[in-house]
Amino acid sequence: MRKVIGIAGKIASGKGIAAEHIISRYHAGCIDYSQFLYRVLDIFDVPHERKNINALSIFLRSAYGQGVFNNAVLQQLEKQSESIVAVTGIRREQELAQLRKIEGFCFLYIDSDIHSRYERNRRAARKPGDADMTFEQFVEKDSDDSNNTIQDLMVSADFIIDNNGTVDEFHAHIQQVITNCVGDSN
Amino acid sequence: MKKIIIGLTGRLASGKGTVTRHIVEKYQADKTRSSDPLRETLDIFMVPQTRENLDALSTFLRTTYSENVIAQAVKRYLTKSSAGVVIFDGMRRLVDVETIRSFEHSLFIFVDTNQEVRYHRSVQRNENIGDDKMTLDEFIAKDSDEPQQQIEALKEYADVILDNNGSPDELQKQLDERVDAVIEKLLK
Repeated sequence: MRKVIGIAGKIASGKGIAAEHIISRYHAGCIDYSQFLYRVLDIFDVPHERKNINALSIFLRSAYGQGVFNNAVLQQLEKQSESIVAVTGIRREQELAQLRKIEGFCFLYIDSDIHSRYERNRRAARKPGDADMTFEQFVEKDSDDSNNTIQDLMVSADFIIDNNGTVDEFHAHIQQVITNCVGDSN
Repeated sequence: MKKIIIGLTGRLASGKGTVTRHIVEKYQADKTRSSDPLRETLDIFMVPQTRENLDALSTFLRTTYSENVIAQAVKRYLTKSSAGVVIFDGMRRLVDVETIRSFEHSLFIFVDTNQEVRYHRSVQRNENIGDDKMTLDEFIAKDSDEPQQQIEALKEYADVILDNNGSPDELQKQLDERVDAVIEKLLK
């Protein structure tokens, strides 16, 4: 049976590292909730800046309904052939509730304090402007409409992974949790 | 390989479909509609491709990112196509003319058909639900909205204006003699 592993966590909490870990260790597939926004921005050659991403996200939800991202994720899931698929970037209860209907679904929440995340976000500089962001700007960003519902998902997690220590500790913790999630058959 | 971009426009039920079919069959042309990037976007989220949903997306993109953002996406579609002849169907704005003219080889065809003839053809073909029940007054109202007016303004930029007020054979004759002649000259 296919295993779908949901991953949530706030900005720069380590979702990407967790997904990468699962992909490389288990030859898993990966779907990121935000990949669909990037795909649209690419169709129209619009830069991947946070304000462009947020505007699109708000528009899609308000024009076509709160379930648009789930539609995209579920459609993509049908196309993935891997026996394990990580679904990362879950933000809302409603999204999680939809994914819960999938048999074999398992949900991980990555917990990391805001100072560590701020430093990581600045260093990784994945989006234009990230490198120069002040701590105050980061706090503001972290609590805006697209990010302020994420922490509510922690209570529903099957596993909470702490990412306040070293990278090695994080990887060890991920491995331990994934083993529990996918069972011995893998 | 040489690439020819053929811009095509005309008002409601003017006969663009017939012209497109001729070029596609004869030159194995590829075709892009100005709504294709919008349709691709709606498909990602499984949103139905209704006129209302397409219009909402179009307005959002143009007001949020830039007025030309859709035209530029169409241009990339035209550029990406590997076909030797690519049709840009349903040009509406001046920026669409600029798009086809930015390619080295372009041809702009305007299908010109008078309103009454178009009305009768629209009723007959019943392409969209309810078209067969439409009165002449309703057709005139639909034919006078802003996008349709914009199309009329593009006529003066056309390389070839096809008169489609006669029989199908008469249109075919113009396609054979006027359109093919230009395409073949461009292909040389």
